[in-house]
Amino acid sequence: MSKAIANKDQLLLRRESLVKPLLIATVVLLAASVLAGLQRENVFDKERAAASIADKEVWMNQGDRNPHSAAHFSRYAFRPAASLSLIDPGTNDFAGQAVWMEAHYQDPAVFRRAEDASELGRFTLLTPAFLLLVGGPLLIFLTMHGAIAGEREDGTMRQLLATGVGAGQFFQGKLRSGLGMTMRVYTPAFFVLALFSLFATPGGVTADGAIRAGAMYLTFAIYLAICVAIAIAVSAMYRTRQAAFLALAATWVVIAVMAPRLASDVATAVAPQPDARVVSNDLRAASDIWYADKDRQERIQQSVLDEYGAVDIDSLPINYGAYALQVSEELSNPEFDRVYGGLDSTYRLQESVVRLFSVLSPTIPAAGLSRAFAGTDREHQRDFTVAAELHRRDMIKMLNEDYMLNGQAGPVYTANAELWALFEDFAFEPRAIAAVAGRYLGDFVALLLWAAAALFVAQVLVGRAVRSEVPTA
Amino acid sequence: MTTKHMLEARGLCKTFGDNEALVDLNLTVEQGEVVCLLGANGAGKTTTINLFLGFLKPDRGSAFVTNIDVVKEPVEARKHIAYLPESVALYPKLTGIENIAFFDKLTGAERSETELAVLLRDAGLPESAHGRRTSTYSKGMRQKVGIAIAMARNSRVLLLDEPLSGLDPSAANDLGQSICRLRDQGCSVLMATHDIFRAKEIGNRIGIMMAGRLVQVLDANALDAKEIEHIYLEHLHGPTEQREEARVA
Repeated sequence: MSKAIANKDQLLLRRESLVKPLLIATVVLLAASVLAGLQRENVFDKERAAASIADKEVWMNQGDRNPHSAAHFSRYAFRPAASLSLIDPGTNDFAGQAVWMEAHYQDPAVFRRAEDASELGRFTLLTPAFLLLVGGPLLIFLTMHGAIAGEREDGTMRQLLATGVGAGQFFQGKLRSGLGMTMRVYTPAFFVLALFSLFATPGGVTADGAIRAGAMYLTFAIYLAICVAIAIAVSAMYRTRQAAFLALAATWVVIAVMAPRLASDVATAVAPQPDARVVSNDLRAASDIWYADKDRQERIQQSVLDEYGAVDIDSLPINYGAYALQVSEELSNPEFDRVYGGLDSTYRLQESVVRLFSVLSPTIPAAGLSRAFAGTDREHQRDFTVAAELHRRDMIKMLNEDYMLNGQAGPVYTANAELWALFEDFAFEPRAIAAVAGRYLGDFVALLLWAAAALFVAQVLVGRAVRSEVPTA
Repeated sequence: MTTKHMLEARGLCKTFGDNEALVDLNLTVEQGEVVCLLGANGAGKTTTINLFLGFLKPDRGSAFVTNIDVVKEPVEARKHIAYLPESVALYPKLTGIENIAFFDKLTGAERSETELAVLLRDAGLPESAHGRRTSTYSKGMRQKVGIAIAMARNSRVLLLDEPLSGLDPSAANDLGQSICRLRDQGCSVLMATHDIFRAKEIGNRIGIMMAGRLVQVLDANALDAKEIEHIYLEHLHGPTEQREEARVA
């Protein structure tokens, strides 16, 4: 029975005059978002590749130079494109995509596209993920608002129930119809999107990329299924298409537009980001921590002199200045970790507050999971900056050690390309999604709870609608 | 041992607020029998049909469809019923053949398009209309699709709620003939109507309902239409002498 109802609904939907233009508009928007994404990623990849090559050339061709001077000259760490960033660029445009790895200082990531975007561009970032998260529910609500209300308005629901169709079968039919139609549009669209995104990534298709695509497909499938259940539930509350349409339009505004915005505003109010100047001052203080404590400088100098049995630094077999530079680095590093750790804690708190708003909207956990599986969320960005910082520390240590062991002559000592060639290029491999899946368990559980709740409420409301037509059902 | 009636009402009562819509209705309809309920608006005809369909819950009493208690097993009871309301609700964007195909599939049957077309034709719907959307149908055409749906469902019980209302004489005649065919095939029919002459033509028995009460049941074959009308009007307005006196006064 449910299959017959689903087939009939799908046939009716195909005959709705509104459906064709809506589908065409959706396909056009998706195509536009893919093209815009391809263009964006392509330009960015080229810029990144060119900058990476130039950076290496400059490093290798810097000539003979003091290692500490080279440490200030230094190099960039570039973040490679995430495999599904075409679908969901996430924080990419706002978080930096490169880190300058200089001595004494952990620089924040730079190379943010949002800084180069026009004012208008910031409001019109059209991505497939945005279309799925915001446009998906709208399309479902527009096409399904009459699922139950329309049958009641036309009197066909009573006619249908008079044939011995039970409330459960009626609900199953409506659900099957909604899910069938939605998945028929969504599945091939996502498949094409994922292929484009995976093949457009410079690294090509990887097993992790494929797993991420599968997880992202599942996320949006659950999200859209929730929207179908919401559409059925709201439609079951009203006796006319118009009333159901207005109620669903309001629902869309709340779950897809207002709740995410409100969550973000509340999160920022609860856990405000520190002023950029304060962070900059903290980083500067961390960098200068060696110079701020003369007693410590003297204690450390004495311990080195004692270790080597030397009377002064000139009689040491190493360059004490280079040694002190490395000590300075190692004193500053925990301070950098503290400052950036504090920022991370703030962002984590903001994200926790945003997650609380998942109660109001399934868009919030779905958006979080989308960014996570695309590899473009803050956690992935943090993995990159942490890896870049570790690379910086290793690199500076190598330079300091070379200076310390070979630079007894002092600042006039120079190293050459032989040393520069020892430094490996920074290569960042995002961790496999399977290894970091635990980070996103909360969002996934929230989405599943939404699905269970939406289905339950829809079933209850359809049952109520059926009983209002046929009390003995 | 209880006799198996196709439809049976036992002491059925229904009130809406202070209004007694149905009072202690006892009625049976046997296999292959057409019982017509005659009465003015508000007499309780539609309430009776709705109670058999389970569209309303009785305050007291029970309704049975092929001995199945409608309140206890409503979905099972409805599987034996075909229902034709005053205006059959069809899906306007589906054609006549698609509408009947849908209702056919609900019963689990998978008739071919040719078989469904035969049913529509037997119900009196011209073939030229089979492939047209029902939004273009007249009321009579929709009622004919409703009859075809009833035929497709092979239901043993047909409940008709003012099915002839608003139909032109030709369409009403066609529909009457279709109902007679179903009756002859062994279908039991309970029909609510205002049309005394059509009730006499189709029905085996005619029940007269007044203010929620079944006041008399007539043998349609034993009386002619005039006599039935006379009895009906007497119930409606009192004996002829009284009506005459009232008219003169």
